[in-house]
Amino acid sequence: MRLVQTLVVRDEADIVGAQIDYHLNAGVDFVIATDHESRDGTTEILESYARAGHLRRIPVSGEMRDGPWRTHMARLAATEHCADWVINTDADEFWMPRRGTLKEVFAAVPEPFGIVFALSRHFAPRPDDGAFFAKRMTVRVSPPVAINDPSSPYRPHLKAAHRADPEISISFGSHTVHSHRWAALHHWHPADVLHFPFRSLKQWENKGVRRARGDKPLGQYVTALLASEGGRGADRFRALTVDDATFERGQSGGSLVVDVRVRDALSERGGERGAEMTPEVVTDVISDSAAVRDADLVRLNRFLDQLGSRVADLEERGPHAR
Amino acid sequence: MTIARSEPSETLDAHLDFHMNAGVDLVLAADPGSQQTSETVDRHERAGSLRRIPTSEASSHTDLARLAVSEHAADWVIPSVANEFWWPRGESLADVLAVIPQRYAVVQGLVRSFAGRREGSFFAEEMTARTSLLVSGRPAGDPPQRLLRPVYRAAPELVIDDDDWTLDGRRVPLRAWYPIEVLTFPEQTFVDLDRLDDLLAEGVLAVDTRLRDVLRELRMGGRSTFAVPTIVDDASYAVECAAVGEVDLVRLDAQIRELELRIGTLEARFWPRVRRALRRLARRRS
Repeated sequence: MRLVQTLVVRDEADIVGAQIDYHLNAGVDFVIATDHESRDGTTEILESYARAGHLRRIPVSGEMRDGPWRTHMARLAATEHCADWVINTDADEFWMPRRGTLKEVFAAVPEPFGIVFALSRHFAPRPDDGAFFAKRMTVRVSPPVAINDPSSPYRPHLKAAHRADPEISISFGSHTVHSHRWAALHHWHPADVLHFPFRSLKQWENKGVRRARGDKPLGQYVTALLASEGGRGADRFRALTVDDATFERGQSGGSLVVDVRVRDALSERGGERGAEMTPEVVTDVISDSAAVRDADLVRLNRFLDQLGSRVADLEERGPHAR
Repeated sequence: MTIARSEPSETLDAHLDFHMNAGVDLVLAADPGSQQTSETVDRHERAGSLRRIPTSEASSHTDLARLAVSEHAADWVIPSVANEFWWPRGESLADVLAVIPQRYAVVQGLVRSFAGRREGSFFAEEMTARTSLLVSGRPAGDPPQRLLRPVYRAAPELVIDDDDWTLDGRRVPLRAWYPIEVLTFPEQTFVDLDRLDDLLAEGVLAVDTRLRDVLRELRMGGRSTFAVPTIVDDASYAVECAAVGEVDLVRLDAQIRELELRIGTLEARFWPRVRRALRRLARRRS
């Protein structure tokens, strides 16, 4: 099996090298990366992997076009890089199989199924003492139910992997994909996507301001933009950061757990195989899987509300409207 | 913020002080003319943070909300009564509302009803136990809306209907997450006060001194800041939001069936029009 990873990245020099190293070590054979106007050294990091034959860098500029870029890369994986399976990633995401290796879990999927969804597991920022993010950020958010706050970075969601398909379409963020060739296997999550969205004040502020003004004015980014514009960035990021007191409170209540899988994988202890599933982790996975389904129900309800509003507009126009 | 009926001055004073500190820019209050004013009301009026509108000009929340939009460029309108205190789960009311995606026209606040006596001393000092959904969940038989209060995004012809916040689906509400808590201090107690300690021990009520503490600070002449909830706070609050039970499969099923019927009605009036138009086109061509 040949496993290809796609990656959309902009200014993530603090993490992108570790992310690529991790996935190459976890069984990814080749990386296709769309580099969107990076200026912080990300481009040079990507080029070093390209020189070593592990990566194809696609430079892009202008307006963010996440879905089309991901679609283009996923199709290239099928047509030019002989992929059997494709995982669609961001620079702050680490795909970790529930058991065995990534290739083993994908090989276990029977045809005609060819689209599976990994469960995102979010890590909280910890006080920044200058240490590498993976060493500091070992606290994972594990709320008992879904947090449906549109401005929260911790809303449950899924990330799609799929068999190669030259006509596949990938959505914004690669939460869903559309294929005429392969069926989607829902509600079975063969991997975790360990997600480190905010790692330092500078990175949080840069990312939030850029995205709130640009392609994706999500509440979490607008929060960063407003705080930055109001000179309150440091205070706001401190509230997002899990300090020791908050961690103790969260751990005793069960909403925060210690998870060292990425830290260990990036150390010499890491290998191609995923971390061992302890009973606690299994319970945790069941709970997070239920949360993502609840969150999907809420998203569906919100979407239906919008559809209802559009239907109401049509109704108001009356039978003689043109 | 709009207040459409006369209120006892004790709560109105606290209400004005609290909300000005919480990020409300202006309170529009319907004034029947006979209402006695207080020093606090006068102070806010002089400061320009309160405008009294004679009831002959505007008496309902809809009238006041439209004034707020047309004359005061409001972005959001909170229809309130004086014994409600709208507590932002963020740095201010303006801040939590600023990040709401444009598609939502209604944001809902989660009601926290405070129990206790309102005789004698200041209500916020006496009433520091409030409802919690962590243990007991939504009372059986109560619709979710009983636990929620709406805030409206400004619109030119804003209508505020206490029984229909979404205007029959035309306004899209943000469901299942409530970025504001509405601390409510009813005139009449809703629990057996002799059982207050038991209810606290059972988790039906929770001790909550937030309003008391803020009002103390404000009465000392200072300002009070609102703590941004941590992820641990949000995780716990999410349990209560889920307990409101606004989203479930049964409701979704009903909503889909209702939409299907409405689309069927639209189709019934759409296709005859298309057929007529095609016939006209065919006649013209022939």
